[in-house]
Amino acid sequence: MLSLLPSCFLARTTTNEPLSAERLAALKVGQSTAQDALTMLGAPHDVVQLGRRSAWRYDFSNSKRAGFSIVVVTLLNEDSRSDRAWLFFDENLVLIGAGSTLQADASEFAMPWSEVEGR
Amino acid sequence: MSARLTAIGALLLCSACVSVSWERKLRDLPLRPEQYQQLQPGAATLEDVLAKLGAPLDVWELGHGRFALAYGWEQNRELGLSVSVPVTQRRSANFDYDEINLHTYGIVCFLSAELRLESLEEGRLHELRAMQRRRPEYEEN
Repeated sequence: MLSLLPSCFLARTTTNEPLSAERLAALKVGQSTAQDALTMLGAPHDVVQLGRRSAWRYDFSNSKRAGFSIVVVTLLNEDSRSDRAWLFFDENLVLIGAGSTLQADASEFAMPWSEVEGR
Repeated sequence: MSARLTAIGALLLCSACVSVSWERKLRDLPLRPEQYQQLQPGAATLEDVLAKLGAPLDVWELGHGRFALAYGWEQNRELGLSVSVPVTQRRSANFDYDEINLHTYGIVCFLSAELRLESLEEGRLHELRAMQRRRPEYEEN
């Protein structure tokens, strides 16, 4: 009879550290350098070479999973959102572009049929 | 009473070899069309793209100073039925029937060596990426 009882679970997985909007905002296009980025944000999680230019990626992901299982039926929802920043440097390692998206905090525990904010 | 017990027993036995699942996987929020429809190829710059769309999901080189910024999001729904039938003590035969909607939609912005938006394509991200991706190249001075 115990196995007939419904079971549910909630799980949260994060990767890396949350990004700081204030630190990202302190980097100025045309002025800041790769050294400034290292000082403010630490080592990037990825570097992509773009010819003589380069692009650095910083990210933090937040996944929330909610599940419900009864006998043969399993319902599962996973909502993953990321904080992400890309910094573009020219051949002299001066910042030529920076873009950030901070939405990791908005991930939700939900069921597969339920509405999720922002969608 | 015995019929009920038989039904419960059958259900318990089924739970070991049959499973039905309904899964939804969401990844990041979709861009709104008004965010990228305002970007004009030939006029918009790298800074404009980053200001309007934020950080891309991926960046890759296209050669000769050109590169691509990919923005993507997922909303996958999977309805699955899995059946596993034991055929020996140690092995079992099983098959899966899944109706999988595996779509990662997104847009890819192609930028020139002068950091201007050349074009913008919308569709399944993995297809757009597969068509355009290349190995990084070494440029002589």
